[in-house]
Amino acid sequence: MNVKGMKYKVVITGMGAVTPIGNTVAEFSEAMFAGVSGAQALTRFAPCELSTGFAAEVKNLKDKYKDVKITYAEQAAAEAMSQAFGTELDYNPLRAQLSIGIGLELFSMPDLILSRQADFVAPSEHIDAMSFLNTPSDLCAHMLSDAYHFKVPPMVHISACAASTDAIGTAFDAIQMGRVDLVLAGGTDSMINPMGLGGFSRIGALSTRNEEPTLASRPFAQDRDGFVLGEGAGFFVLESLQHAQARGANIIAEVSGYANTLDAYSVSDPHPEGGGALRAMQAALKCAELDYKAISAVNAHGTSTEKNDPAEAKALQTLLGERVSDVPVSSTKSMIGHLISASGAVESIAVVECLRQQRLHPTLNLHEVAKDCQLNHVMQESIPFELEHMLKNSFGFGGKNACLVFSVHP
Amino acid sequence: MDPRFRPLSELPINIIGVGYLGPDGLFAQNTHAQQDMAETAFDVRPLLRDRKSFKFMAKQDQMAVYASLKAIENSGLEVSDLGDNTGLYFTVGTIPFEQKHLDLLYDKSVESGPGLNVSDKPEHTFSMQRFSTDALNSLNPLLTFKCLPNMPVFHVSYNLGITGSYYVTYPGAGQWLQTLQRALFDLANDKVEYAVVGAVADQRNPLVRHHVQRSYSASRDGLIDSACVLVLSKHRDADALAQLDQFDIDYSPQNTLCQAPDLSKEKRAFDFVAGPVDPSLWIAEHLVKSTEGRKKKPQYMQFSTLDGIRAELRLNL
Repeated sequence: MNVKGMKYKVVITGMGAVTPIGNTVAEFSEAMFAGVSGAQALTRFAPCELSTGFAAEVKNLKDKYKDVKITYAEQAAAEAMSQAFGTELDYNPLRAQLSIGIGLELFSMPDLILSRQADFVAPSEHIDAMSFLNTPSDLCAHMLSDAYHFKVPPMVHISACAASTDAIGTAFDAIQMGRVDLVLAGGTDSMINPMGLGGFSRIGALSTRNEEPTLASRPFAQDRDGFVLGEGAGFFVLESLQHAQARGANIIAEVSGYANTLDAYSVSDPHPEGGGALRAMQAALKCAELDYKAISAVNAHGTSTEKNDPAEAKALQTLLGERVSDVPVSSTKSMIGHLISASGAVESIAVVECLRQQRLHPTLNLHEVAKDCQLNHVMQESIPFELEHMLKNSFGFGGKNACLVFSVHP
Repeated sequence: MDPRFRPLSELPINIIGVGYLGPDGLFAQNTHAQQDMAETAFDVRPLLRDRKSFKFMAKQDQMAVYASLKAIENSGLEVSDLGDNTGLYFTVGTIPFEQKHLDLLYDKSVESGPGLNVSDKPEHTFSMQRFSTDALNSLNPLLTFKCLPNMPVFHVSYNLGITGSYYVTYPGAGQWLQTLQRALFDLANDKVEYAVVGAVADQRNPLVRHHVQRSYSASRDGLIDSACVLVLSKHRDADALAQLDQFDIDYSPQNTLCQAPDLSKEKRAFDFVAGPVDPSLWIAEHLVKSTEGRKKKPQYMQFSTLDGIRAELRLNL
């Protein structure tokens, strides 16, 4: 426990990303500021008659595991740990932990057909199970914990689109209160498979702009028609400031606030006034000991769906008050699509890159802002901007709202 | 700083309510050795805030709501007492999938069409063309909502009006310990006044049975459907059912798909029978026996989970 109620400052010393527009943080950052879209016609499988035939796939990465989200997680985690520690893992494993947001396992349709013929008999050798149906989601957590010798049990978050934001937030809490020194925190997901794409298509959540995939993700736009499914992973190495300084680590930025709330409103829709989202943003700022006047910019959840974008806009309008026309807002999903459980982590890396480079990336494809989404949107091109504190929003299916505050390290 | 991780220093915490759901004879002697318990029978519909929401609910959603409502009732709290001041902390079992839906997906996604005898036609393969038309068009779109492991938290929050913090995870008893820890953390740091800590597992279906056998080489028989919810409060309350006054965790990561865990030397191994619900069912069992006047002395639990987490927990009744 922390000493006499003192809270430890939480800093970022490593980042790693696998995204539809780059398989390292450097590649992702360059493409993000250039406004590159990662969406394209599906290459992983033929969509046949699905209403959506495109997605934002990870490219140029060899799949080590059949369950690609494990491959993505391993690579992103390795980049983050390498940046933080080089080749020497210099920490006490008894005070080090993983916190991960991860997608659901369900099953793959080709595997269902194969295994059904065998009446769901499991492979005789355990190792064969890695190439069988999708893997249990917590397995990825234990593999990463094992790889980095963490002796504190992992936190595995499944709060849908808010999962990896919750993973980073609960890691922040654990370090801030002195429970652990270090957390590898982030998320990984891929639902670009027949069941994932088919399920989202069936409920009408996806854009059907099949002729022009790169123009399809258009958060807050008048003519938006749904989200673009993406995939990937993002991880941070978070440490207490004391721990990082003691080992002479390079500090990239700070995590300064986190909160989450529930809407308790609808199984599929956000609260139309963004009530739960607003409370989460306010609580995250309170946690950071800031108020709305201190926010330099916002990285929105910004999905490009009919109901989410206006609800978030309404919540931001209420939060920012008279500053609403001054505080820039951008959505990373316009370029990489919706990474579901990994979205919060990868978009948080976007935030840190914005803080680091004092530049805001654009919301791609946003030409005409919807009447009920009026904010100070960063449109079309990245802009230089003086940034000190940025708010990151993530809102999940079933009314889960998670918000983080990131700050520059002085 | 402490030399190593300690999960808690905020104890004791009061347990003020418990609600559970399982097959008949759940707490009978040697329950966990029984090989094939009955179906868990219940009807949540009369208890729902909005009966129309039932169509969105999978079995695990229904069980979670049922046990949560019972726990709040047991605590003496009213739903109107809950809101921003209450957090919701849930562990959900491995994703279930009903046999009838698997049958439908299979029959309408194989290359040669429905009605084939699979044992005679092992060469049949997945057809994306059929899946994208016949299979998807046959499925009720609401099935998407029923597959999501984060939905029990929505349904509980909706029916109890809980709008405070949340933590939702899966799929094993080890993660329930993390859930409990997060609830205790939020209580200790005054993020919430009450913590509703639950676990739910719908396991008597082919996908979960398959997963259990694949991952742990365990018997596919004997799994039960269950839910258990505890209501925790930091307030000193003379009517508290018990106090949780010790809770320690240790961890050695394991890749269960590559190395089957050896639990033969453990005092008690969880996960096989009730999945993530098992530890809280142990607590519920002692709370029930204490209420009935059969056990009043402190109860000590030491156990290991399949994913390499060991815990020690003491309940002061």
